[in-house]
Amino acid sequence: MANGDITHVKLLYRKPLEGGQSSSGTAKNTKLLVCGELSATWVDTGIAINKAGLAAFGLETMDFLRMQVLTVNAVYPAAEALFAASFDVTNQKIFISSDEGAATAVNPDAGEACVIRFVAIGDDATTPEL
Amino acid sequence: MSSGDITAIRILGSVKLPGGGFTTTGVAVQHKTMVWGEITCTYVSTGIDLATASAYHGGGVRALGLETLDFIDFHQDYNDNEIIDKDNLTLINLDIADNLIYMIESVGGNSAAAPTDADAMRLTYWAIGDAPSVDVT
Repeated sequence: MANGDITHVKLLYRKPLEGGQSSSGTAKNTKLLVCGELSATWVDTGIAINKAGLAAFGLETMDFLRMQVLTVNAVYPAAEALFAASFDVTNQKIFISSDEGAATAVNPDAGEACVIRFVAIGDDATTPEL
Repeated sequence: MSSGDITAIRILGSVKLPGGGFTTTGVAVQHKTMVWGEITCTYVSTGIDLATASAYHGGGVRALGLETLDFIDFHQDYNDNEIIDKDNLTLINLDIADNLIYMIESVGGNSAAAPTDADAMRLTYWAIGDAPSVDVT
């Protein structure tokens, strides 16, 4: 395992949703709503999901993603020490900042464990297009 | 009432999400629940305390309409002293261990910082988790 790797993913909920479309407008039988928890170690180049791909979020393609950083280095958010997370869709990397609200927001230190809860909606690889 | 107290919680929706759920330890559960609502409160630097919503099903996560919380997202609906604009975005986190809500404003400006204590605000939330053992009405 190297810094920036995902160490494990917990699936908390998975539910097909009817009535979807692909990004090019093609009707899809179903979309998928997934809620889960992802653990990884930090590296400044971003937490790479490319080894698992979007399957790390339980999806084949992703329409929407929201992340909630639970802990960094086993520390919860606190006053003027909030977390923010964003996903680089092009390079498929997660970036996190901590100490949001302090004089200087920072990134986690290399190797620090990051636990992220997420909700994502997208396409399931097993659902055929109409 | 003290700063950081929750004065009202309105659960605006509670929907059962059938099938396909797990606890954080991997035990299968029959369904999850999705809830959304609004929290009226005042800010304090030590965090908006869900425990102060004891009038709502005993407070804590149950006040939001859930027994356990898998995911939650917040948005600032209004703040008596701040209007969201290009240099004044907000960031809101929940310390899930202590059920304390923390917030910063002026995100995007030169100096993001916590709101002033006693600022009155309304937050909306959207959450997924396990339903209370007793139905929340």
